[in-house]
Amino acid sequence: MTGVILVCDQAARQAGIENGIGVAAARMLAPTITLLARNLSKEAEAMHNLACWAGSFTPRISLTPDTLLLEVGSCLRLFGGLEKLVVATREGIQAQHFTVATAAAPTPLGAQWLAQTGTDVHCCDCDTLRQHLKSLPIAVLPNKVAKSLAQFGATTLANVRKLPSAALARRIGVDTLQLLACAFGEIPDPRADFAFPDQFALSLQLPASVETASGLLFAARRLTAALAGWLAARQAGVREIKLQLQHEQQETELVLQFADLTADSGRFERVLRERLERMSLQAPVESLRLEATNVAFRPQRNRALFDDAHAEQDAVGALLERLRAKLGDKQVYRVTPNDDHRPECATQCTTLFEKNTPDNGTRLPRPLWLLHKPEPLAEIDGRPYRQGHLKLLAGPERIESGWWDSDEGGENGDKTTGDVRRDYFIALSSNACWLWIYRECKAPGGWFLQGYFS
Amino acid sequence: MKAPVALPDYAELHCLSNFSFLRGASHAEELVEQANALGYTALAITDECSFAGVVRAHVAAKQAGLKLLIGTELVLADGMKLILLAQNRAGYGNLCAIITLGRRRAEKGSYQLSRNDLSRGVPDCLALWLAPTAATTEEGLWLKAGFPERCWIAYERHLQPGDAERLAALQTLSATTGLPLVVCGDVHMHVRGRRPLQDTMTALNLKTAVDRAGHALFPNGERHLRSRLRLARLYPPELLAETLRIAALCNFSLDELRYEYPEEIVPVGQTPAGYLRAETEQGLAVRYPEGVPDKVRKQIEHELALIADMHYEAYFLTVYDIVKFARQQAILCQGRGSAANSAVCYALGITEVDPAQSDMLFERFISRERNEPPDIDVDFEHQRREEVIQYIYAKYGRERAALTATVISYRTRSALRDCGRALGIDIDRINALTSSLGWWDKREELQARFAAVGLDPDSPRVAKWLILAKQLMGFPRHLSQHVGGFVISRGRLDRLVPIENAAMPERSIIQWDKDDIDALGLMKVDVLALGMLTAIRRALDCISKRDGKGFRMQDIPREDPAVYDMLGHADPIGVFQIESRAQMTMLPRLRPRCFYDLVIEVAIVRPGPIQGDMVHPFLRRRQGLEPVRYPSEAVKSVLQRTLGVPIFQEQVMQLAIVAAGFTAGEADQLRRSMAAWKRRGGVEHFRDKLIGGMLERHYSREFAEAIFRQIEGFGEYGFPESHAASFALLVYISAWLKRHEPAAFLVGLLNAQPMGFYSASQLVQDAQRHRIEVLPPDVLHSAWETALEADTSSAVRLGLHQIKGLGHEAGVRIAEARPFRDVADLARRAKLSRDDLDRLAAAGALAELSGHRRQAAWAVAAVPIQRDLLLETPTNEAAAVLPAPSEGEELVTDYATLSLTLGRHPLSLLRRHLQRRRYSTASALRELGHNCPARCAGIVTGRQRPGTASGVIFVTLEDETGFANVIVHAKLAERQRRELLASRLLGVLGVLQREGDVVHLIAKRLMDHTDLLGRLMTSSRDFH
Repeated sequence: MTGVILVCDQAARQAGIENGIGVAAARMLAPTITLLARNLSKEAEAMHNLACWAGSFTPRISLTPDTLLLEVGSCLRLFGGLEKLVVATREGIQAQHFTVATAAAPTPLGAQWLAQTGTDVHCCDCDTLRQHLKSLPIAVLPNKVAKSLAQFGATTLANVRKLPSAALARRIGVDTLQLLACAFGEIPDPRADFAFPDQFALSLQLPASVETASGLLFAARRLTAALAGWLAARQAGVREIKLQLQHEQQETELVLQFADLTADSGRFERVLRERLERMSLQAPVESLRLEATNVAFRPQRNRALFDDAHAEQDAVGALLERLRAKLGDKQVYRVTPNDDHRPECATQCTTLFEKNTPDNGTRLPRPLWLLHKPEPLAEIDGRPYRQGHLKLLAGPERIESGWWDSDEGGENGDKTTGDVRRDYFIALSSNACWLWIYRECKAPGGWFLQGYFS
Repeated sequence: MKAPVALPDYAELHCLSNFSFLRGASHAEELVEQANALGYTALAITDECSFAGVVRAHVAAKQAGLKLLIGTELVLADGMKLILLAQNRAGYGNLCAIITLGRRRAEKGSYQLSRNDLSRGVPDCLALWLAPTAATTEEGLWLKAGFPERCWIAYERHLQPGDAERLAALQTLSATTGLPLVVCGDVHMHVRGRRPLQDTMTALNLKTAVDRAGHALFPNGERHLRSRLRLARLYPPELLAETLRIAALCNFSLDELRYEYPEEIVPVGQTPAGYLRAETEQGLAVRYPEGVPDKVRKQIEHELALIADMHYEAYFLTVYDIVKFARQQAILCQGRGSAANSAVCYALGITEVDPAQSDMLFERFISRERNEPPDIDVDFEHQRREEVIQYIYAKYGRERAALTATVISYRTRSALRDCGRALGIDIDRINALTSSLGWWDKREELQARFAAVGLDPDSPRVAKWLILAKQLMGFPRHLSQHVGGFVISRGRLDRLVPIENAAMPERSIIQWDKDDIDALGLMKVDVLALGMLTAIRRALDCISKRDGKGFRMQDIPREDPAVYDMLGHADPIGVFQIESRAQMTMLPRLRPRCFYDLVIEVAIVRPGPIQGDMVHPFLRRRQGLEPVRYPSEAVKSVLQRTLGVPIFQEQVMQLAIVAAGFTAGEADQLRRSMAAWKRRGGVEHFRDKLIGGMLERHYSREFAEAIFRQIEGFGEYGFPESHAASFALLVYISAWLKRHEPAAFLVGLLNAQPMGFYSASQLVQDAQRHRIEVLPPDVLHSAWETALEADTSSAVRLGLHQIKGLGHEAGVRIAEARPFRDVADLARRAKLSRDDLDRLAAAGALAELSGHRRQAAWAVAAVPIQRDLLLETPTNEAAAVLPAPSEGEELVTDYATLSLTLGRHPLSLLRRHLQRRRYSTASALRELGHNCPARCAGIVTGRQRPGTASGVIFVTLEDETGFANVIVHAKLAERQRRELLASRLLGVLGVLQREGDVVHLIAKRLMDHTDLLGRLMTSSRDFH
């Protein structure tokens, strides 16, 4: 990881790390430091969700990369005054585990600058605003301009305002002076309204923690209903939605997949109910988050003509979904090839609706039917024996691979296959079966049957 | 029981070493040894389009007595895969040319060859066709035409499905094309056990993890050197026998390569020997106008005889030619390295060290017994070395001159990093672990370090990681260019060794590194860059210009007591070589009084003498605190000039001869292996011989052990006397300049930046302390470079080059267009960009034109730039009066724009605060007595952790009065890591340690006062 430290915690500060120092320097100061990469897209997403959330305060919202502007002049009374409104927004944001700096001002840019500089000023009149603005550092202005101004010796906006404006405009451009004028309320500063999201992701803080799965269904219904409405409005459907159950410590994620695009709230709810009924909650749930993870445009159907065909397709899909929801993810699966030399690892179970990984095209003689576990064979007169001597038709093919997972635990606590070293043969049994057998090269050796060609 | 079958003989014809990067998983030496152990008749090293590994293989094969074939694996653009094997010298040359062709045409690290390139085959080479099952008769016939009677179809069996069918298909192909069949092994590793490493490399090659590499990995470990018993079971006997027939057809050994010196260094009609003699005599006449001293004459005759014996005339003349060119171009240069300080080199002007004044051992430079070529490195001014390189290319052409390669190998960190990546270990954890490698050699720390990043040190995956990383260490990763080692040949160089592209455009490198060249006895000339030579030449130029007459290095008076006085008082900032803290503190102890003292000074502060515990005995003897005794007359003759303490590499060799009975050749072998010990080990062999030899000759065991310890310590760092003498001369010259021409010296140093050790800021401060007036860069006065201010002898005007970010061309235009009416005039006539103007204003370089920085910034901001058509010329606007910046602000801007300040030192602005905290200045510190409690604060300008000083860290603090040296012991360093590493302004509470004039502050407590600096930017130079 390279770059600079954007923000660090108390322990890091004690080790001498400051915001803005290089990562290498930080590692030198604290070799065991944990570094988390800044995730700009996550930040943007959070801002976006906050904008959605802020819709409950005012319909007029404006969003910049780091600032959320709410036009509250028209709804002050509704919330019982500025102070109460500020408290409500702060608490709402903090409840979502964000830190926030707030400010209020008669001009959007003024409020934005006051918030960015952490002044904690909430004012309603222009005179007070001007007083506060004047003491702000020039760093609130665009980087390049701030640099020029610093060279002229200006450090605060007051300094800037004192410079002869025509001469100044010639030097730093009219844009910046206009910016200042906007902030000071001397010219209007119209902002584009926030447009409603293209992606659906909603969180729901539960009023009290819920300990039963069925209890969640009721709460989740509000989310699924909203999703359905959103989809309908956009003429879209989903293939997959994700419901996250947030517990105090960790979270559980439920992925609900649909065989085809759907916007049917009944279907969401049915699949969700089956899933929730089957699971036992690890911990009380504090909040829910529903996300439409695979949305696509879904043209309106011409019901009269194609209703039957669609209905049939929907029905198979719905059946698979219900089976899977009922039996569990692991029980309904597809077998797909996996890129590994070892026969045990050459196939894998993939979820029903996952995209096929293309076959890498290796054409090796492999039996269709593989035993769950290789079956030891007798060796008589130095030859493998299974209801009679086996006749070796082809081989040996030596497979020697997999050292990387020896002695390691697999995903489900199964032992991994580990390093194998075997000589494989195609053998003919006395009852004319084509078998896939191998001789173990590692001590103590021996013959094993691993699969049937026929 | 089967009857024992006689094992078939076999020659492996297809084998890759680890110079097929990220494919071959064994060293060439391992392959050779294993093939020999298995009783193979011969082994071919066939790295993919490369001969980079063949010299190592050759050396190992010679030692093992195994027949080595040299070849290469090539994949043509249409996918055809071939092995080409050299049958003889001509074939080898042809292969070199083919590899060169393929490599030069592609980017570094790859190659590109097509059937067109091989349309007429490769004469004197055999071809093995690695035909796929689907190969066509047409392809076979095409090959047959190019390689009549010299092409085979190769069958390689690795226990895959369809092996038998493939053999049958190839037999059919053989029948239809008439090409015979042979078998080979596609060997990628010397033993089966390298399979994990081979898989790892495959994954790295694909930039994935092993468990995701799938079928890209080999399905098994059959691609190793298999026993002949196994081969007998896998292949038909007649095909095994065919390998022997092929091996018998290849009879080339790298020993046949004879280096041929270029011809054009000798004028037509003269012999090299005659020409060398003539030039030497001519040089002697110039060097000794009063006649050649007898000693030198004797030395010259001895050397010329030896050179003639070994046919090395051309080598000396090649170097002479390059040096002559440099002289003509007035590029300062100086030879060093093994043969440089011979009397012949002095006569030829390759070095300035007078043989009349020293006692060199010329045998050491040219060893009769080992038949190894001499070695001369020539340092050139670093800013002009490129001219010399271009001269060499122009004179010999790119087909005949190329740089040697440096093999970049896996080190601990890179091996851990790559193996970790291949095992799918989280990259951040790898980084966290490898950011400091203190744990690598310490099992006890390993646990804690792994646990700290969340890895279980006992887990199987971590165990595999460590094993693989250990195996990978020392593997070559890629070829890079050597700093300046040129190989020049008489004929086409690409028929001697393949040439490939270096990363730097317009540079080409051969595929061998300096050890390979050494092993084959080829010649190279090191064309190196040395910043101090630039600085000296610049200073000399500056003096010449001021005085209106030429002033050369030779014109500097020698043995000037004032120079030695200055060095004895530890006032060496800027002087060559006396840079490290160890050297600085050595000077007042050593108190040099003559040139030879400087030679010792240069050599003594090295890891070799320090580890051999030679420094203190020498100092005590020099100060007369301890008598000088010699165990024998023979030893006395060797060690007398260094008071009985061996300091130079030559002395160690001579001791081995006189005290332990080594021959001169054996002693030279000892020296050569000294350089390699650090990397390869193998001291024991010499230890027994050396100590045994000394005991036999009645030396005490204690003495013998001490000598051996020093030899060990020398390792790669031992300084030969010749080398030290060359450097000492530059020490003297630079010290003389500093003492007598400090202003010119500062100009030279500043114009030669960056040179590594001192920053411009430190140099300027030192000059100011020596009462040199340093003037700021100003558009009305400064040239691009720093110069003496006209009509003064002690004022230096900083050049515009000191302004960060200002381009060279803009700077030159300003100097040419001077004077200016105002900034608009400046901008227009010097064609400056907006950024240039801003930089000039910020740097204060417009002070005379438009006032202080803020005024200047204001003024330039309104200047129209020619390309800015929209911006109008300002109509008589009222002048804005901007308040002048404060001193602190000026200081910050000085550092930000010039990296130095000519104003007061930042600490003098803070002195009041520091006094309140009872910190004394660096100069006050020097007045305190031994063991006094003391406190000092300064800007951290250096942190050093010398390898020789067990965990101790040396910190250099700078304040307005100079420098203070602080010693931080390991325990304190660990406890106050944060203060030590993060402070830019550091306060130290401790105890003063004084030894004569040498003063150190032993830290007891560290305080971080960086906050006092506010925004002041300083950068510390860290040397870990």
